[in-house]
Amino acid sequence: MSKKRFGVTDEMMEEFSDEIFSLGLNYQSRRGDSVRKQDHDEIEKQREGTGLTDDEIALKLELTMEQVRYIRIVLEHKRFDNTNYAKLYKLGSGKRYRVEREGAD
Amino acid sequence: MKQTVAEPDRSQTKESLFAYARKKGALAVGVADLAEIERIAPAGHRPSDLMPKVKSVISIGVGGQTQGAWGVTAKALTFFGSTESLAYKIAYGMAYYIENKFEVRSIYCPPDLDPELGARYPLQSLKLHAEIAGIGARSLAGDILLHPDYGYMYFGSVFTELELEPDKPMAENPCPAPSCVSMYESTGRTPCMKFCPAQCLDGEIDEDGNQTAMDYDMAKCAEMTQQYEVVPQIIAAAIAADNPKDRDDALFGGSNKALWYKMSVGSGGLLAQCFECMRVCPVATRSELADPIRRAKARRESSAGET
Ligand code: SF4
Ligand code: SF4
Repeated sequence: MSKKRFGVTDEMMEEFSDEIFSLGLNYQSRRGDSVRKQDHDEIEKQREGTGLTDDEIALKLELTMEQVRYIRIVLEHKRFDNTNYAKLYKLGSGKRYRVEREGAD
Repeated sequence: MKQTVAEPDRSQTKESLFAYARKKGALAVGVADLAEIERIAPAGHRPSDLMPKVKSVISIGVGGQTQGAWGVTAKALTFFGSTESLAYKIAYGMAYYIENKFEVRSIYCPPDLDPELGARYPLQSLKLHAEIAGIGARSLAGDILLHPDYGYMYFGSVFTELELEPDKPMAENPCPAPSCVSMYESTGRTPCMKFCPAQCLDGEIDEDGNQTAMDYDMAKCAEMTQQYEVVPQIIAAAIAADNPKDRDDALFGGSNKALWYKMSVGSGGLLAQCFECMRVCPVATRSELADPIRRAKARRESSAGET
């Protein structure tokens, strides 16, 4: 996968990063319980919130699917914070995460 | 090759498949309405995209944890918390069973990521299959499926050219549990939202105790649950390091060194590693048949009632 080959520029990365990142599966918002209830009007209405495919994002942002895919995958790696995982090491055996303890030790 | 089972045999066929799955250790089995999945799943991720002549999707649910597992450290749970391999094994076996018994083409649906799409898009949504098959409903914990009797399960799917009568999605959603509604009313949060170490869950519950909104920062959750995503980052940092100490830090510092162990032994501890939302979930941990101890008790009581 190459940035140049798909015509992805730095400006494009800058302009579309946040939108592409959140339109994919990275943030998911659901209202009600439309899949279980098989409420297709609602399912259609909520597609943007529940997560779009690269084709769907490309159509919305007037980019090519390859450009969207490139930007999305790069961002999913770049924005991955490897330091959070260690929080798990302190949990369990009766100890639960508390937001107020964050940064206390 | 006869591809359609005659109408009177359909329910028997379905029953024999369900009996097979239960014998192999499944807790719940359902047939999803193929037309519904085809309509809901996006292009490229529909069952027919994978198997063009598919007629039925069978979803298989297996138990999550033993009761004891909920009390151990997160560090340990990381390695053995997910039980999806049993679901996959049963699904794999069922595909063989159908071909052997009914002489109709069948496959084990790969639960894996779509290799063209990076680390976060599966080929198929096993969750959607299970939900439409009526063996799980979306929870406020990032849409993890829950079952009112079995709580938290893992799912596998079988695609087959056998035509089977579909089941219906659940009539009720077990999430939120009454105790979660009470907590939400007094604090604005449910247990899963409060104790999630990534603080990636949010949602709303209406006056009748139903979910009205579920918001999930999957990217944050992935940092706790999809450690395999870190590997390219570590390699990139090692390549970019301009001195041996920084290179050593990138490769062997912190928990990075453990990654090489996990990868080399093919450890399940590379994915589905955080269980903190389920650990505090009353449906996952305290449903009537949520773990082997509860299921044994139910069996004992039911056989005592019969005698
Ligand atoms: S798996 Fe962990 S990080 Fe993800 S939602 Fe549950 S508690 Fe939060
Ligand atoms: S703790 Fe479980 S039942 Fe309660 S709101 Fe969260 S997912 Fe639903």
